Amino acid sequence: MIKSNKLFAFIGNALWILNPFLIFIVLFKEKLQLNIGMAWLGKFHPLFLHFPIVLSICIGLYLIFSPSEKLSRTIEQQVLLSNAFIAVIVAITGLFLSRENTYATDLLTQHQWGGVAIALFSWALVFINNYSKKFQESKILRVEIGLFLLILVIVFTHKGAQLTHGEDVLSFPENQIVSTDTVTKKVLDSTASIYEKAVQPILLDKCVSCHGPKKVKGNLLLDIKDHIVKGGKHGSVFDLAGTSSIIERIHLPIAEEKHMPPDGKPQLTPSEIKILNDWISAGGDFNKKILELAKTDSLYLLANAYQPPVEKNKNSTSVGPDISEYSTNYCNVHYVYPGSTLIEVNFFQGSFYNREQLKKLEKIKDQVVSLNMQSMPLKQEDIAIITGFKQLEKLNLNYTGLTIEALKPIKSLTKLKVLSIAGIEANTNAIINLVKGSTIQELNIWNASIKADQIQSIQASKKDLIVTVGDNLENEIIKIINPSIEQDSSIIPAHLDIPIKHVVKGTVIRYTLDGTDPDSLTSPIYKKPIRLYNNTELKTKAFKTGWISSDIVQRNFYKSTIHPDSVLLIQLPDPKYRATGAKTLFDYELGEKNFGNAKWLGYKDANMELLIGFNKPTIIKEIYFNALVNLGSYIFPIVSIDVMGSMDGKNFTLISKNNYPSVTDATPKTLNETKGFSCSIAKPSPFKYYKFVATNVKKLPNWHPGKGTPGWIFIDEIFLN
Amino acid sequence: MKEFLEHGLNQNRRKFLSKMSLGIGGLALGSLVAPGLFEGKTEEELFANVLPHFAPKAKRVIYLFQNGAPSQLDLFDYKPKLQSMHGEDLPASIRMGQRLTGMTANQAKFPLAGTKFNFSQHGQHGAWFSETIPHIASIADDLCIVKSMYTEAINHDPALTFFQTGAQVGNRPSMGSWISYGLGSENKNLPAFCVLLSKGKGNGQGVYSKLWNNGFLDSIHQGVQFTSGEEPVKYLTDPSFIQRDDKRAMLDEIASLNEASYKEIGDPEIVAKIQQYELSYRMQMAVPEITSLQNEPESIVKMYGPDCLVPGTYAANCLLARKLSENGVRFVQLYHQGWDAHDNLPSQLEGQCKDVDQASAALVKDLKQRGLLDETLVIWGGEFGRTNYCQGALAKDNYGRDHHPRCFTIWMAGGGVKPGVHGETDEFGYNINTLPVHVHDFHATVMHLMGINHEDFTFKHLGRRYRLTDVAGNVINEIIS
Repeated sequence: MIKSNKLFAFIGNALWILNPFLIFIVLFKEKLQLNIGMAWLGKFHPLFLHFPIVLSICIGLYLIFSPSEKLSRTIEQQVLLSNAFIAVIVAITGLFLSRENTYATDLLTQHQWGGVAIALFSWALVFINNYSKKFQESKILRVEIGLFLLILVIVFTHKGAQLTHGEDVLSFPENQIVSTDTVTKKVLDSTASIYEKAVQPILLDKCVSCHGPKKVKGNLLLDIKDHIVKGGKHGSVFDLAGTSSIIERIHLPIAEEKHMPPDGKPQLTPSEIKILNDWISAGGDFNKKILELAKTDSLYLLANAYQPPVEKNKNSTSVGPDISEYSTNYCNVHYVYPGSTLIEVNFFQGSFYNREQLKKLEKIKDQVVSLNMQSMPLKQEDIAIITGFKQLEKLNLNYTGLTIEALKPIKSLTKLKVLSIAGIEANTNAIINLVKGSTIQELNIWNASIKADQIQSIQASKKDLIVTVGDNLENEIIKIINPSIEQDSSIIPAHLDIPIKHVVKGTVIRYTLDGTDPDSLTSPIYKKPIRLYNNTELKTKAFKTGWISSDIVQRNFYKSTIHPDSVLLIQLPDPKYRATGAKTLFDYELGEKNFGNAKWLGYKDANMELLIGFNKPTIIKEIYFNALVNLGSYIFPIVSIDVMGSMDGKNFTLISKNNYPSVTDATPKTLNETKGFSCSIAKPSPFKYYKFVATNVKKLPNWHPGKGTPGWIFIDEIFLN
Repeated sequence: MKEFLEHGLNQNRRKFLSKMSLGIGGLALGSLVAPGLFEGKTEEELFANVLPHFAPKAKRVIYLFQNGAPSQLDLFDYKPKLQSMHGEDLPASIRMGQRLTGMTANQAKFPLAGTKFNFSQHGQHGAWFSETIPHIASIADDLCIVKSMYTEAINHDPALTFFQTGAQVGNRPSMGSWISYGLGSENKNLPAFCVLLSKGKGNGQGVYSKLWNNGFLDSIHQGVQFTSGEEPVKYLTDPSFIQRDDKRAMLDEIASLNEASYKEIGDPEIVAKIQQYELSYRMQMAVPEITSLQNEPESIVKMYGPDCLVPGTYAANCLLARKLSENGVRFVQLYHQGWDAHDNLPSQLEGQCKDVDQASAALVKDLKQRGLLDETLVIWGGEFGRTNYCQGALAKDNYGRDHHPRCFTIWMAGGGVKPGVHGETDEFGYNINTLPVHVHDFHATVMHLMGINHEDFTFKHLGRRYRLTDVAGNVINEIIS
């Protein structure tokens, strides 16, 4: 007896270890990594599991029927301890086992948590029985707990049975059930009927789980011919006059509630949808052979190519051996995806290419399926190494500097499907020789001597070969881009150097300084930056043989010799467009066409009024306002500019009054340009102060969307000479 | 009685505590079967051995973002009905009281504006293209045109942010950052996520660096902006007086000091720092080699248009995108501004198309002739569409269009998408008739093409797991080849 006491004390303690352990592994089951011993323990799950089932059922029945002659407390306790112990062992081994096998995930999860619940509840019973007085006395409570235990055990162990023996483990045998195994394993060729070869496997794979003998949704069964013909709640499958519900639903977007198969279930692939659609639309002939269809019929092609789904091993997380040692900074070696045994290799940056790197890959050559060596400086020796990679399916040798003759050994690659040799010089015959008798299905070539119209002779040399040659534009005549004037400033203080650039090599830049258009014969050729001293209109144009010459690029450069000593804006600009205030007007920086770039002063509700001052009386002969005109943005030309002079800053005399033409009907409504407004002073005399008033349009014309409201004026710079 | 009870309790407490220690032993045993659980591995390391989840169809993405929202009705979604009803009011039965922007909500009338441009069908799927994009039309057989895109945002910034990060408010990682985080860089000498900007003459909308931000992911996943100046990557070039050998010697010296202090302190950040120095050293070599456009053959220049030699243009960025992509950059993001044509749409659109049409098509053709198109996914599209009715005054051949999130068109090419036309809008081009594709669906599909199950690709931040698709998104299987 002492021995058995010790044994049960040990079991009691063991439960304190095993149950937390169980909780732990069930919470983190995704991250479990089992060693062989544990995996082996997992195999004992099917052996042990029957003990707690029987014990639990006995305990449940014992509690429910409460025999008048109760067992002694010690025995009760020992039975409960044994039950809890074996239940937790079964649950743990079960979790180990679940990592090994592939089962339907929903069922498995239910079974797992059920098993954990049984183990924990059995453990709890040990305590309830030991410490709860109520449990000892209340008959009703004992019946309730007994029933609960029974239901728990029956429901969740049944889930386990469904896992191993199929979901229909306890259903009544039905002689019409089609076994999926026998159908899909039959080797079917084009002599089979369309139904047998493609339609039935699709239905069995994707539909029958809900429209089959186990579950009959919408009263529709899709498992065998008779049921399919019978149809379901929404009518016949072949109801073509109305809408065949099945055709409609498989085509609905997945977000729709009526979409089939429902969201969350394995979906039909586009070709499966097409097969079902075409077969049903054609009337759903169960006996029609694939052979009877026209070879070009899309249903023939799809059904013939259809392969029944292969059971995938989802839980296999085994990653292949580490191949990081083969990668360098200039060569990337990786599995197609973790878990795959196939390897892809990419080389980068030809100036770092090293043949040793390629040689190193020979150790894994039977796994390499894709090799990209674009722009690597390759030699015949490299090709010799590459031809040892017998599993290669895709090879990229673009711009490798090889000759087409050097590529001949590639023919020995019997798995090669895609070959890219853009930039490798070759004529049509050489390429035909390369692909003839090879396994190449797709060929990408681009080189100077192959023209798009020669593609056919290459294509004709091999059946089903896809050739891409790209555009060959060497001889195409297109327009060259404009030269660019690389001088930001448009203002000439004493002098200004103007560099002109063109990005295309070998282009001739010509220019004029007198406002005439440059031509390809007489205009000076640009050699070094042009030095300007006075107001100049510069025009320049690019020429290149074999190209159409560029547009003319035109820029105005302005002389600005006088700089005021002080500037004051009498009327402040609109707060939105005030740039950096008065000094913006004399900063020698033009605002370009973007009026929002804080280089422009904008006025709308008032005229611009500006006062400039000199330390000593200064003669100004000419004033030039650089303004913006952007009709679409309500920016109109300046209407008039008045110039006044004064010696004391108080009494001004009008010395120049200028009016400018307004926008006419002929002006394009989308006009957007910078424009100069000049005022010349007829009788210049020295003044210490000058005042300018520039007025805006007070009412926009009727054609404008903003008719009746004032127009803007925008001024970025004033030049004084 | 009380003493008796206390005795019992003590007994139980003592027992309980001693049993508890056994329980902790059980937990400890558990940790032996789940190694790595307490090792404090970052999520990143956990993903390293899992991604891609399955064999990817696309290895790299080039996203040609047309910022400002190009008008689908003047480019791809041909609606003769609008032309025949030009100037008539948008029927209320079509609008169904749907939300409009503040810019047109107060318009008294919504006159329908038929496109001014001629449309024609191209390719074996008979897709419609307007005359403004002849080059894109010429590659019709390579394009998967999704006419039934829709989004939730109606203004630029939230819509753009939604497309880039899967959420309308900022601070989530950009698509490219997620890809960088999940798949890393192929070429160890370049960042995995690069950004290129260009600007057209049309009405523009801002592009901000938050669009290529790493959000809560590590900052190495942030998009690296390549600029158009002399120096494509800022602060990468050494001052002229530093020789390459001196630099090497300096880095070696610093590395030996860093290694010494790593041995002493053991802070992994020190190792990270050494690696960062090495990366930028290698980038100093790689970037000029890769970004140099001068050595492109004339045929390529003519294909992209000579603008491709002017740094900072869309064409130059397309060409650079191809070079970065073929050199292993996972995600190249372009933005081209200027599509926001609220007025003068025809002339603005023509200008924009001139900028992008030839180069976009050239990129696809260039990848194809190199055999790289099947592994590179090219995406072309804006953040939403434009309305079928006119904003402002409607003239016979001049109109403007407001923002329209309810349907618009994008196209994709290569990378495992199936050429063809997906989805259909109603005859007014206002609502979607069939196969709608939400932005989340688009993200899920791009992830899927990259070999990632979007539902299993998460990052835990502030107590919750985030995905690019948040809690939504379905892979659009119909457009996958």
